[in-house]
Amino acid sequence: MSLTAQKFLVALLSLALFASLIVVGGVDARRQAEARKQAAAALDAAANPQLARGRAAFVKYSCNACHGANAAGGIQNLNAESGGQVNDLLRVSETYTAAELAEKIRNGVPEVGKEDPTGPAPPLRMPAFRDLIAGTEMTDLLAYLMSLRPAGGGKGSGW
Amino acid sequence: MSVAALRRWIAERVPIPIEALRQPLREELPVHLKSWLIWLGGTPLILFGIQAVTGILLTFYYSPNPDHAYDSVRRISTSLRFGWLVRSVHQTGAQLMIVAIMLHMIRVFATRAYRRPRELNWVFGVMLFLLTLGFGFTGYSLLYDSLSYWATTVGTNLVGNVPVVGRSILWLLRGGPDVNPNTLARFYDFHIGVLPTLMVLVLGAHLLLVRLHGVAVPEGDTRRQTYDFFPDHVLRESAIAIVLLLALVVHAMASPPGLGDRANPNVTPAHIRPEWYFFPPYRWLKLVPMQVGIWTSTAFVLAMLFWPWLDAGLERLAPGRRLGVWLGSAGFLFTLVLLLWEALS
Repeated sequence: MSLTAQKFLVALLSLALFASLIVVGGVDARRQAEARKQAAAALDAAANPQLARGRAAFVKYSCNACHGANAAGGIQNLNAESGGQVNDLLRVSETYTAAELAEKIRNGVPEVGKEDPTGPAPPLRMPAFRDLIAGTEMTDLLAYLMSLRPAGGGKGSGW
Repeated sequence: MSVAALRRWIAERVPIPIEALRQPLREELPVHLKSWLIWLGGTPLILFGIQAVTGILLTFYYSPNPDHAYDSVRRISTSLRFGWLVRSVHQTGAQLMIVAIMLHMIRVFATRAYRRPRELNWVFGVMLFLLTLGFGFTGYSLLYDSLSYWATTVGTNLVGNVPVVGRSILWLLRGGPDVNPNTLARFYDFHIGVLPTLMVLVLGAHLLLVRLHGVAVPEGDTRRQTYDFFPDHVLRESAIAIVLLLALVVHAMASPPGLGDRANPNVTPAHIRPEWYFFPPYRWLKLVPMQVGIWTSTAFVLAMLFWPWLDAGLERLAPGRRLGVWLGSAGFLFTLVLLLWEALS
């Protein structure tokens, strides 16, 4: 094999190694960032037991079944006006006061607006929780919902 | 006392021929070593030096006891002055050392520098690579955080599946049937005692043979020029050393290594994973039945170890067809595929 061919082989195999390591490093960095975020969330919950209790209520009353894990949305609701999905709850603190949000939880949303007025009614509707959630449980749940922020925005993001 | 008198005084009491000591510095290196693709052989040695110094510093404060190991690592990373720097340089240096050895092996493979009479030096080189992986495995376990504890458990479990000697080696490594308080002490011993000793011995043999044979001239290189080991080559290696140190310190500042949760033998984390350099065998063992995996992995290591003779055999089988180059490259690329597969899954 000529010297040039040998150098070419060295360069090729080395580049393959480097390219692989860059991919491995990138994936690892993303995983670590994810783990750090989870650890920070766990720390927040530990530091503020009210939020942890509110989150527990969120799961206890199956809010997550429609509004998604961590209230991040993503659950299908055919022909719903909010883009064919149940809306997420990450911005409720911007659009409701705590009192308004409490009213919404008590009364539910008996009829969800249609995206296409001629289409079928969206199958998922929000039940009224009037008889189920009250007292400190309601206060905790409200505190949790008002603490939610979209990922990348609010607390912990860059300057 | 003048310098000359001091020299005479020393020469009389330590009668070493100074000229003979200078001899190794006078080596003439073939000119192809000047290419940046080729001259990386010294890099693992530099990194080994960095590892030795930072490693000794870490032993000042590390406590190889299951009750204190985790806290001592945390203390080194958070409260000791420059502890984070030393730990980070040691950890990143270890990864770089593995990469540097791989690059050196690629170079020696591609230039077929392992051909007769240099077969044994390839064998020593592969041993150094395996020893370095051993350093990585034992070193990672010393963190004693959740992931490293379970990586150790799973890794040693694999050893137990090796035919015939597996159970005995497993017992030797762990000091018992399970990962237990003895295990950490043993891994620490291996990491700072047994492996460094073996490393220095094999490294000495490796360098001695390089020096005795001279650096191999690649096939097809008709140039006969040489350049001096000292100061030319030493200067180049020093430049690499400075760049490496700079890179290690910058990396330490930009992204110091983290520490997971404290190891809890009763709680298995969701994703157990070894360090990246063990991804290929890890993925392979998940793909095929355990016994097949163990045997093929053993065969892979043996083929790597005895590659010079395997390559010579292939050359005799089909002269001029470069079967060795194809087979070796394919084996290496397959390893990278397994590495990526595990990383992305």
